[in-house]
Amino acid sequence: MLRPVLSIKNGGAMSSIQDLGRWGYQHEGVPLSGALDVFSAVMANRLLGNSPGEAVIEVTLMGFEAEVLDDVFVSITGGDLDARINGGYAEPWRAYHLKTGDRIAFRAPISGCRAYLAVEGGFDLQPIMGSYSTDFFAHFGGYRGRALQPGDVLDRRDPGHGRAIGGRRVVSGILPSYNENLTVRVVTGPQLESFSREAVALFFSSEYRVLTTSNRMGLRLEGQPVPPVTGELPPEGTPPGSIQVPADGQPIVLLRGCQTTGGYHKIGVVIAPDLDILAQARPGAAIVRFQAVTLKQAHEQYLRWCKALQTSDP
Amino acid sequence: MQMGNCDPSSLDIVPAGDRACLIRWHGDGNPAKRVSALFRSIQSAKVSGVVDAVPGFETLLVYYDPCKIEWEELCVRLSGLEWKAGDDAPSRTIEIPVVYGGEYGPDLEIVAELAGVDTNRVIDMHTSATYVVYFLGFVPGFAYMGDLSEALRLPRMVKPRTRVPAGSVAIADRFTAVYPSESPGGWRLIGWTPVALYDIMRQPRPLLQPGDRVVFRSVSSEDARQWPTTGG
Repeated sequence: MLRPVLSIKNGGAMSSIQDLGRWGYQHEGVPLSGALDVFSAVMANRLLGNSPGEAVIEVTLMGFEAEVLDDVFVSITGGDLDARINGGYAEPWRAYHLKTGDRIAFRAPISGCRAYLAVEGGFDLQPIMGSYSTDFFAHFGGYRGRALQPGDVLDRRDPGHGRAIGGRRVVSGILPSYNENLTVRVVTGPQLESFSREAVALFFSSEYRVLTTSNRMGLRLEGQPVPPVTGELPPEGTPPGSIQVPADGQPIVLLRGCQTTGGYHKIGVVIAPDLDILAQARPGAAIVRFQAVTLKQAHEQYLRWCKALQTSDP
Repeated sequence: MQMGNCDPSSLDIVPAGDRACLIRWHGDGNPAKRVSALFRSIQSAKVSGVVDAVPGFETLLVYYDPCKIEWEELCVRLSGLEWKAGDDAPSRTIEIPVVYGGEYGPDLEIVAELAGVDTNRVIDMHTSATYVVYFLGFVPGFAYMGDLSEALRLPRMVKPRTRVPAGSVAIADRFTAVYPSESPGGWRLIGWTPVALYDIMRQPRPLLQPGDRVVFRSVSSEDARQWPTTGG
């Protein structure tokens, strides 16, 4: 039985169905895709008692609007995009009970630039290769392999429980803060040695503006150009977080929507927990600095991140 | 050598962030065959904590979950994998029809100019070789094939196109490939094929697999338009 839950009135700047990524098919050239901010996507599901990998709507910047077609609990997490329920401000990191006919809209970024919207029971969609994520390269998965548009109707699954969860919040101790000046941590390499000492010193002591040409594939940065390595690498796997330095010396940081392989030299890779924060850096406004950490330090942070993601009762 | 590396065997394993590592080889031989062999070995070994692996031309990128496996153990497990770049199963030869030049291959003339030959010679060179599929990467079904004749080895364009049409047949450096879907791209476009390179409804989904042999055949635009496309 179909349970229509949201009728999209406006897709806004760019809204799409995502989950925790399409793992296991990169050898076919299939990119991971998935929520750019994993922490927020997982918390959106946790707030509703959903499993962490349920499909969520990733709303970018502004303009998304939907009508509620059935009484339902929803959650809003991630950047504060001035969410409105029937015109009234709805803060992120909590669950809300919505009624048939209610309107939910995201007006403009107050902090961060991506919000996540989940429904109790999860959206009823067909997983493709084990994932609900929208693949924008070959146009499959998610909702018809594309960004959400006016007229789209999303269904939900029966949650199988009737718990009252409205008003539930993510505990404040694990909430991220999205500043316009941010420092993200980096494991250096895998081509660190190809860069000159001066290039490395300059990169880690400079600040970079996030350009408006950024997208789900990557953040384009502008600042002190990093003296690049001449020539290209034989193509190799490029994990999300890769800091590529192309010929013009202006770094590109790959986000989780990136391609699987590339030929630019990489000075380092942003650690997974900080990639969530970086994905919230608003193009045209945010300033980013990079800080090198050891692999041991990076793994300590990773374990903390996993623990926060597993907070079962936020 | 960078801190954190482990190199107890012929494999050089370096961190690529907090949840992936890059395996490189030093020495001779066909790197693509070794990458394929190690990829298959990792797939069948099912090492706990290893979550994905991505073949490149000379490297294999391995994703792991640091909550499930520690770095030192990962290195030991990866180095200890039994793998042999043995003789592959007899490979298939796949023919790909291509309309060269004009609106179908907008860079054919500049490629000819840079190579110092005429456009017919470029088509001859591109169609007379048999290419090997090294690995798939970039976007779904994108197969890196080679080697291109020396004369056609050109660097990628300085300013990549924001939109390359699906089916574009392209060259860059030692490689040739077909763009399976519309995407940005910096390779030089010499032709177009109606063949579907990737189809989620087909098994196997990619038309081309590592180890396959590929020949390109020049066809007219009329023939190409009537080509029986497979799925899609």
